Amino acid sequence: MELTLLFQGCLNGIMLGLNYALIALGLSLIFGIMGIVNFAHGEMYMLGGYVAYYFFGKFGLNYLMTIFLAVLLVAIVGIVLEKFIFRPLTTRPKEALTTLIAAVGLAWVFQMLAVIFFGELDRTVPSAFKGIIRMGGVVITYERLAAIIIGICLVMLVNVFLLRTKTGQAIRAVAQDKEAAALQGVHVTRISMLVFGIGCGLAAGAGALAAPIFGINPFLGGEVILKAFLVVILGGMGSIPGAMLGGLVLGIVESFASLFFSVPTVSVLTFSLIIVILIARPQGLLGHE
Amino acid sequence: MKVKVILICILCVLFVVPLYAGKISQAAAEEKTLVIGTTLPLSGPAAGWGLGLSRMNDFFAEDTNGKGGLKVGGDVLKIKTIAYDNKGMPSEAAANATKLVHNDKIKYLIGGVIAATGMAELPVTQPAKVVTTSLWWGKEILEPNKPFSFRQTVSQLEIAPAMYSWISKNNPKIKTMAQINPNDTSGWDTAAAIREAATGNGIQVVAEEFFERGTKDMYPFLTKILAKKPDLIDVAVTAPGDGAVIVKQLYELGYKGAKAWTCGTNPIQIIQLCGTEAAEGLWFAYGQNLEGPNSTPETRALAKRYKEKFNEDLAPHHVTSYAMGEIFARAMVEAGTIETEPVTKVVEKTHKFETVFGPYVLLGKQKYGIDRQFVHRMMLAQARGGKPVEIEWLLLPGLGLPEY
Repeated sequence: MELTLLFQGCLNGIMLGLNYALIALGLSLIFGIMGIVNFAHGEMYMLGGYVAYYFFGKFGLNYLMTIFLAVLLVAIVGIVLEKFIFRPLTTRPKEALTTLIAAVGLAWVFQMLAVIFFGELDRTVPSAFKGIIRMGGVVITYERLAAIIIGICLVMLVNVFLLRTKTGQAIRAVAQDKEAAALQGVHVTRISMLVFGIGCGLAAGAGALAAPIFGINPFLGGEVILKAFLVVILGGMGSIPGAMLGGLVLGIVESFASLFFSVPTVSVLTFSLIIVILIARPQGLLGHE
Repeated sequence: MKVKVILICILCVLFVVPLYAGKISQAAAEEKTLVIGTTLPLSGPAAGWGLGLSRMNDFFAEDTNGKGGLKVGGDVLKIKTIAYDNKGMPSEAAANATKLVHNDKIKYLIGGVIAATGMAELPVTQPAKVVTTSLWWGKEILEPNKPFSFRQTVSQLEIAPAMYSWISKNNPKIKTMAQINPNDTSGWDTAAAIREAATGNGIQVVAEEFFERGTKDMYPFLTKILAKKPDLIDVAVTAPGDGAVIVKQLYELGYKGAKAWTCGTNPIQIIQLCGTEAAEGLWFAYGQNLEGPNSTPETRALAKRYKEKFNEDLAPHHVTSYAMGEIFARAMVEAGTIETEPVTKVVEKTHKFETVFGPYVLLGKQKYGIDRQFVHRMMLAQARGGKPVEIEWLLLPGLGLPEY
């Protein structure tokens, strides 16, 4: 097989993997801190896409401002959801089941609200960065390159926030031991709210970045949530570096396998690989036992 | 106490609502109605196919009722429509069909799309002798043991030979092709039809890919296809949302060869989704400009009315549902009944029809074993400067070619 084809496959895989990783990062954060399996996470991604469609596509707002707005607006949605829906449920018996059901219900609600307000049809978002870079036979669009760079910046921002700020320290403390953190004076309720907001905001950022590349529709969330969960489980539940690594592994495996096999075979191979990895390391690639 | 109040309220609702609903249905029963049903993807990637079909049923009902209703036998019937969303999923389609046939007592289901949903619905509708007219593409949809299943538009089995005959005659430099289809019944059947049509016209198939509906990143398998250097890439029976992503990503990957969307049914929407540059040169078999001089005045009026009401463009395949309403309504009048067996016999006997969409022919005995395939005119068009430009009518069985 030609070298250019392999390089293109590698590049495709990195692009795909980073997209998965960004969606999964927020999901991992929410689960790691709050223990909530947020099935509505895909809908936050979808909402980010629609923010990009309207603010960038229709109103002509600057693209970078649009991404910032998508992160901010959907983070606020996340905070509201945490305060009024998930927090009351986490104080009740069988909280894992009730929060799961609530999340599934929210996913449906957001989908139907999107249908009502935005319509059922697919929409495209204009390219913010037009043009293609060719290096030998390898191709990458400026759009995708920008998505990679901005995505990496978002991840680094989150990392710096978690590692270098007092609030980040508090978040890590809550992740380790909620009660101990509370005893140390950490306001666990506020931290949970903030984490949920950040998680949802990250998903929205991924959605806004992907919108000009893949287009949007109200059911986008359902299409990405399965991949997001796979990445989180593969990387290790609650592990942020794990989510990044899991995303890249999944993206690269899918991309390379597609060069040699048909799409159905690729799905079989991908899932088989994940199962093998989980048998060898049930906690995921970078998860804790 | 609080729980008691809630329980009492729920019980009240449970008793009052059926009483009220009963009064409404009694009133409806006194007015004679013919209910046309449908189950379609009204949401999801295939909504672009389903919504227009459902709305055309509504338009037909409005127009017929506006003329005083349908006079069948000694009765004057008002037409009502019911549409259920199956999201393009066979399981939903089967459940909807069961509801339509056994709860709603529908005799006519007009408009169905995605063959996998049709295969799920037919076991429900056929034993109940419910007429289905659909865009379900696949040979198994029309068979002698399914006498009430009609196809309201040409399928890939008619379009592919016509399309590839035109391509090979007018573009002799095209020697190789690749095709991309969804990984389900529609996709496999279309791939087989296109493969046969292409090779029959001297065009070698160098690659075939099947993808899961809703896939967003097509780069992995497009990279593999482009390595085979096809002269033509056909996105075949891909739904508008998915196909637009493919066409766009082909453009990004630098593909400069010919492109076709043999079964692409909504050129205006598709070009908008793909973007002008990416769509440039794309061929469509469903390329009729419904507001142009090649369309009937009635089609032009429908297209204008649809645009004013929904702020969306009507697509050629949508109009076929209106045409089905006309054909079967006339057959009911002639048969003097709405019962499906005699109506079906009248439709079969009539064989040729003039509708708002233009001429229709019912054929298929040689190919399917039964005459249940409606054929109408198909205009080949090409995307140029962001718009579909009509080229010529394709030659089809019954319309330019011998019937089968």
